[in-house]
Amino acid sequence: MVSLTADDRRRLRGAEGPALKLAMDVVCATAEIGGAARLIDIEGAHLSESFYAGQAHQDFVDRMISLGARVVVPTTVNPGSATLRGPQGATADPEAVSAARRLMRSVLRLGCRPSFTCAPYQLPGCVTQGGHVAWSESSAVVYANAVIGARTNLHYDYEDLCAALVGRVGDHGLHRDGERKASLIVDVGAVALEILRHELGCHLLGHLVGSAVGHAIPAIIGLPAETRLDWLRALGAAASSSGALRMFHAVGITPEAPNLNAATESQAGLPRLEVTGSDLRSAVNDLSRPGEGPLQGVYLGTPHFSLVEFDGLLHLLDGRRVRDGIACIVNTSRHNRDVLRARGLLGRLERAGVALMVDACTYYGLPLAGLRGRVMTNSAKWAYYAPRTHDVAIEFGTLQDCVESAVNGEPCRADSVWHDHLWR
Amino acid sequence: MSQGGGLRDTVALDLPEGAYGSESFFVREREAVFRGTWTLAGFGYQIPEPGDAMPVTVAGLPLLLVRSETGEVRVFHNVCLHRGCPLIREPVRRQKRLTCLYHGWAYDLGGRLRARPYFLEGGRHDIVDRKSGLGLEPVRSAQWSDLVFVNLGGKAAPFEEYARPMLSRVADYDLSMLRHGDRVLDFDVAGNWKLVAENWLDALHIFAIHPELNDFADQSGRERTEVDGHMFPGVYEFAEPRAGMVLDPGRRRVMSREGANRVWSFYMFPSVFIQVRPDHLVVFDLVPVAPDRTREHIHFYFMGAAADDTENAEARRIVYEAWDAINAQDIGPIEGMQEGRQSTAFRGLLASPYWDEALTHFTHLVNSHMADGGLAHG
Repeated sequence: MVSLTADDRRRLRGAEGPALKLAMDVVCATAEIGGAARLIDIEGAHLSESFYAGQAHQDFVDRMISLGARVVVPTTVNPGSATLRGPQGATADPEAVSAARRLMRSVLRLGCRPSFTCAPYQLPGCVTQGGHVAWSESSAVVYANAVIGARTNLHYDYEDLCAALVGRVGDHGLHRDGERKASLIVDVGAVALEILRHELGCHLLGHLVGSAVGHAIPAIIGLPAETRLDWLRALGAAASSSGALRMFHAVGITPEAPNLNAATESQAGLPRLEVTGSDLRSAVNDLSRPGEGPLQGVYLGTPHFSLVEFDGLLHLLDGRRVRDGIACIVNTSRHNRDVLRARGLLGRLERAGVALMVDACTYYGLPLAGLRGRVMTNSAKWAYYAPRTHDVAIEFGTLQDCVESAVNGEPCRADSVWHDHLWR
Repeated sequence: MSQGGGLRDTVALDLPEGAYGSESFFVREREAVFRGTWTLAGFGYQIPEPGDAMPVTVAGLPLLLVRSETGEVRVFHNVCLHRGCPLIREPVRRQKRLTCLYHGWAYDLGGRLRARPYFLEGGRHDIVDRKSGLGLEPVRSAQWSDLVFVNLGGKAAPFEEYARPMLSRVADYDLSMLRHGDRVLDFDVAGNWKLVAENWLDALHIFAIHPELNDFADQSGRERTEVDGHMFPGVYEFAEPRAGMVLDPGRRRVMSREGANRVWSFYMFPSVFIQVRPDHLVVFDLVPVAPDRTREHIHFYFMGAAADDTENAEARRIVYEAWDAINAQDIGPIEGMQEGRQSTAFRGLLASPYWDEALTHFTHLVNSHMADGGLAHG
């Protein structure tokens, strides 16, 4: 039984209008299912309402707009199922494109920020450690919990919008201290340091951990202090694709895991997963779908490329140009694009033949509908999903491999991290 | 953000108790943080010619920097093989050998042991073959511009990875002309080194205590400090160049045309902060001395003759005085916090969701290195 405050009850009775009554109904029902004893305030929300997955989306949002609903906490939204401007993929249905764009505009009328990104944590003013939010993008949920130390369960359409309208969620799951502890240990101590000091290590580890642990919370030991935020992000994104990871601890690195004791309720009897270089190599095979024929394109930025990653990309390009005929598309947020423009970097990317895609997603939705052929990515998440939505063969590589392949026009593994002796 | 989203009343930074004042934390930190990462050891200009050498202490260990016959800077542990006496106590110039003052053991500029006077008996010196393999213990080092970095633990990721976020952001700057200025500013701060570093990352305090900086480029146009591994880049643009903020407001010469109105700053965890201004470089070197004491040195690099000529002497003086004043403005609150944080009323830092991503990451980096000792790759 969820105990409610006087304010909660007033909304539930409809005293603050039908929109809030409906939202409160949904929030309370969800809290009940989750086993919450009460509702708690959230300080922000991130919604996936902006992605058109059918007319019901538009209907629900329209209904809320017509009832005068407005979000009461800072609220960002996921990419849409089409970009707001420009041509979409070869097989995109024009009606679906208009529907996608209409929905994207509609959610803004609810008071959401026009962020259209799966990486809300890259936006200024994002939640900090200890803050409660309601987020509904899986990779962002892992990032919020694990890397920021904020608290959110994975929310879903349309319950995420309801939470943003009332600013409340059930106090259960990852909102509670006791539910955030690790239930198994993943030890990467046997993996070569060269791999772990590379983005690749975290992409692969994420893929492996996701498929091995499902929705359990792992405490990963053995990651070096040099592990970068974007790598932890890649780990979470991969693991919430191949599995249902919502939270992990990287012992010594993430904020709630200064040591193994802090990350676990009790270490005794916890299952232990030892990861080796050859396990990671099998993850490479898992993520690759070899194909024949010329390279069509290189797809970066799943989740949305960060400013730090753009810096790395420009560094690797080193003034060179992508080979004519190769699409090199980087998916990012409009916010990041605007910052790049202000810093004079957008021109450099354009001159290098790199195209940015904002407001939408490269593996999901309409912008690249009909994409086929042999493509390359450095993202385990993209490699996992793209073959399910596009007719593509995947060459999985590092960012350096992707850049060299784009410049040379054919897939190659140029990165020294691939040296055989590291992968035993 | 229209709906508020202001400060939340939670503790955002969570360093362990004693992190700012206890001797034991300080000692462990010296090992885990300062020996575990790349830290600044010295500057090339301090040993300009082959055979020049100088002693330095980094993270509690005695080292020596020496310029070889071929002009490279090398770093060794400043400890004679024989009895563990420091090899040099003072800077030396144009030596062919570095000779231990205690028993005269002589090493060449590559650190190889070459002679042990009277070692075999009263009149017999031992001339050591250069291929003997005996010699001073080398320290892993790297140089960027004139700055010499060391990784004492030897296990940090390559220097290029640490520095890459800086190198790539100033890739179009011509740093080849830089020469050390004619003054170094020294400060003795009664505060833990982390308070100094946190202040470098804190882009929010400028409007309140640095009126001249705020006047140059005000807070509303500033961005928060970024996070890129062990590097924290920050950047802002200014409208009009001013004396003190640039060497030459007439801007006859800048390191990058694109950067003519831009100031980059880079905090490289843990010990060095670099500001790249259009026509000069400012390097802050932080040396923890005790849990509650830190020495801070500010070095300046200008372009070519402007580093020490008379024509620019007045302009340089204004630059030095500007930084002297700015740093003095920071030291008050830093020393105050050293006391304030010992108070029972202080319960941890409150973070701004806009400005303080960098501060949060700084805390996590300290924690990561402190924890790394206990992990498989320690």
